[in-house]
Amino acid sequence: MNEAMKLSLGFACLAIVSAFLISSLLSPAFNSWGGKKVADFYMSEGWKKLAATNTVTTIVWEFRGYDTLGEETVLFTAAMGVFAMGLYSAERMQENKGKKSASPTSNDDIKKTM
Amino acid sequence: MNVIVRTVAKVAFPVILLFGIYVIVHGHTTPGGTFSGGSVMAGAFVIYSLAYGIASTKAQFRESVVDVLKSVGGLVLILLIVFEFFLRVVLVPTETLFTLWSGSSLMFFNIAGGVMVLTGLLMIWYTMARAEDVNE
Repeated sequence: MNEAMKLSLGFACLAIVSAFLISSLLSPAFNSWGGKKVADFYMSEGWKKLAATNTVTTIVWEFRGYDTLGEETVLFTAAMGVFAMGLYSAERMQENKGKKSASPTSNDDIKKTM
Repeated sequence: MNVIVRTVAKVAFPVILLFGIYVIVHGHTTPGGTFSGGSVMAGAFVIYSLAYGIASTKAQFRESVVDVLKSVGGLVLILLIVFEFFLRVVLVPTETLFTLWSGSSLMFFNIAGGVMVLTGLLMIWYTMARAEDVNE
């Protein structure tokens, strides 16, 4: 892939993303009347539907439940990533412990781990 | 750590855990919920391990158990989302507002998410502490 192709691909991605952004800003959910309607529904009907007095939790777990599931997935992935990174670097340090008498975390080690 | 820190940690540990459980379980009636309550509970374990050393904490709350709990929390969360409508239909008529027994499935959502947050943060803390162990 040469430079011109990369550049045109980047411009295409930018155009698609900005088209989505502009269309979402123009959609009724972001207008004053549409947003107010949704907010009024959450405030007036949310606690009746679920019998919960904390409206924030109602919105987070019910009306936007899939968003929160994604948030939990992000946390899960972050924990797994840190776990894998720590495991790998610990193994690497133990390998290099016998070879080097100097500090176990030299610049080379960090570069290898990354 | 010296005896003062150890004693304070020993006394504060169950209280902090209880407060975290309270924040999680009452997530649908009072401010709070999964992330705040799970962070409070993970903080209790961090204080304990700072006072007594990471080895004794790992011996009492093993890393494999934390890993399994994290996955179980995620699975329960997905199952709850699948059966959410059914739970709402069954539970809401039996409940009263402003008590613990309200909010249909929100309490179970909060508990499963809180377990996930607690175990995730604990896993990150254990991993950082392990890197420290190897250095010594």
